Amino acid sequence: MSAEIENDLKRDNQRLQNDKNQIVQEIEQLPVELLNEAIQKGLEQGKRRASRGRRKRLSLSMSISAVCIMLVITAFVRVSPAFANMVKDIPGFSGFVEFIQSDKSLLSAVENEFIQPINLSAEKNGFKFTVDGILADDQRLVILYTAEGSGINGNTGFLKYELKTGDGADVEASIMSSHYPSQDDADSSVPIHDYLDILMGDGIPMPERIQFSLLLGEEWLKVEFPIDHERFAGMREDISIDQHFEVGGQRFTVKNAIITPLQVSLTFEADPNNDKHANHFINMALVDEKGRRYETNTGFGDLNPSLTRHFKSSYFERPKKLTLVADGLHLSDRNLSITVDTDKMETISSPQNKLKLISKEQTAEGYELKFDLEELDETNKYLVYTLFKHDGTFKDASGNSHPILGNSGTSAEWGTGDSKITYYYRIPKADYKQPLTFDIEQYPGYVMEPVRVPIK
Amino acid sequence: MDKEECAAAAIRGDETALLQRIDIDKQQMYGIAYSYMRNETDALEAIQETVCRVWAKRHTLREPKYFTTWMIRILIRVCMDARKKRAREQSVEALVQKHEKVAAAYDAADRLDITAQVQALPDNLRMVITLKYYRDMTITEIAELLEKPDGTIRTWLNKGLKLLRTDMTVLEEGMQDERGNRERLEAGQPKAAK
Repeated sequence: MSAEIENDLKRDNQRLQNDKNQIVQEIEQLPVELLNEAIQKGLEQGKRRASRGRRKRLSLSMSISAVCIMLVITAFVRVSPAFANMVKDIPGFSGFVEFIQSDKSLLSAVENEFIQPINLSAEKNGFKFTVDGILADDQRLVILYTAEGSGINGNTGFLKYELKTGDGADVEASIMSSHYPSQDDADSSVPIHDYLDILMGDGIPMPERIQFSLLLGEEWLKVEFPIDHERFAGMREDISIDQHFEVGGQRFTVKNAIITPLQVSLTFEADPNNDKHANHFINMALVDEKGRRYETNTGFGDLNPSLTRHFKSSYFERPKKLTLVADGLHLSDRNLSITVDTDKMETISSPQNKLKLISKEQTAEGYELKFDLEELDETNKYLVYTLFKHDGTFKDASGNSHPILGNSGTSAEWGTGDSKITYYYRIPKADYKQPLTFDIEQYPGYVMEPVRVPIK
Repeated sequence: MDKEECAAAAIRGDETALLQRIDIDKQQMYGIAYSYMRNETDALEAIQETVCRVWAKRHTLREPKYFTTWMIRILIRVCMDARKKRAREQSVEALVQKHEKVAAAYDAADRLDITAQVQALPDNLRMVITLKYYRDMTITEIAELLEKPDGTIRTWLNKGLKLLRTDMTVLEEGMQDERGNRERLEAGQPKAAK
């Protein structure tokens, strides 16, 4: 074989050699700057690609104008074998072990047999949609469901859904789901177990029935199921608090608490005379007399003027005492703004140059603008800021105001380990007089100062 | 930081260390990418994609000392994929046009001829020829990078040279192979693309 190659080579040697010499000369004119640029771009692209790995989706359907807040959850979920076994014993629930275990409220609810098995399915053209079970109380509803069919697998991404009450009205709530890509092949068909976490708006009652439709392939499949209110009747504790406290020179009041099996809600009010914009408490939690912590990841409203925070529930632990604790406060100056040119795609100014316009895409309704909020440190990276006011406006260079589209709150995306968060805002399609100025509602900034307020 | 410490830090997600570590190999990477892709733009694009995958998959590299081999494997995959992707994007008409261009070049200049011929080879043969004759690598080195036995590399080399040696019929066959008709090539039945 080798001798044959040598013979072949002799025949072609000269031609190959000439070509090689030319190539080597060309390689020697290494475009160093372009090469370094390609490497740098590759790294940026890699970070973006890696950040696509983990996504969370949050949608809001509220007839009232409300802002929803959410913290980035990065905790790694460890599933204990004992718990996995316990959930496996409940038919249809083995696929939800990780999700349930990641949430202390759900975990103790399941341990206290608070699950309502549903097991209702809809089938069409080879697609099957099953609502396996729910967890429900006065404030919160968690739907565990399974989707299967041709081409449905762990990498299908977020499935489109529609959620209505039994009489067809919108569910006024903050609805959350997470999606973790799996190792499934792109074309494979593997049943996926997913959930919707529905936190009812303040004062909105839990519906009696839910119509849940899911889009699989081209098919909308609908399952209607009842919520058994008997299961949580009387399992609600309302506490009036009215305690004042101060942090970072800003004054607040804790108004009241609602404790139910799946959630504890606390309502806060900020003093209207506060000179800064209070965005968020840092590491806020409830702690009981045994040192058990009940964390908070979500909430409604904002601290100006009124905010309801949702904590993991202490309901089944029945603690004697509960204390509200926090390490500090996220706050920002009032009257901040960012000025951008959406034609030249430039960020002209933003506070500390941390916020940048990075892309503009044309959509059916207008333009979708992407902004990167960069240089976030360990303390302020876990917060999705309401950058621009809900239902807000922006101004063009002539001083005319235009609406920021959509009432779906803040849409943001981030990757585990990133020091930035990408925000999406949509504006109408028009020939604007550039530049455009957007007023900033919340921005990174914080003071560390401990808070302790007795609740119970 | 030495090479290995740098690679280890890069795997842990240290961007500066990653850039430093890539810097050590960047000339070699550019050499391979350029020899295979045959133009600056495509070579740089391949390197960008490689670095992207390196960052995204850095956790999969267990031994920092194999960083170079691991990264070059990715680069080789990227180069070969880039061509496949392009082949898919090209319509049959475009292939015929390319064929005509190649045919014109065949008479015009010898170097262009061999360039075109190497480019028309199936991905694996083209890569082996590139690494052996344009990058002066040994069979063993190539075998390690492509994760194939030495014997396979020798066979591919042999096959590649055979194709280069002959006339337009074989050149056309190579192009045909680009559209996926590998069996015909391996069975050694030359057939011209129409």
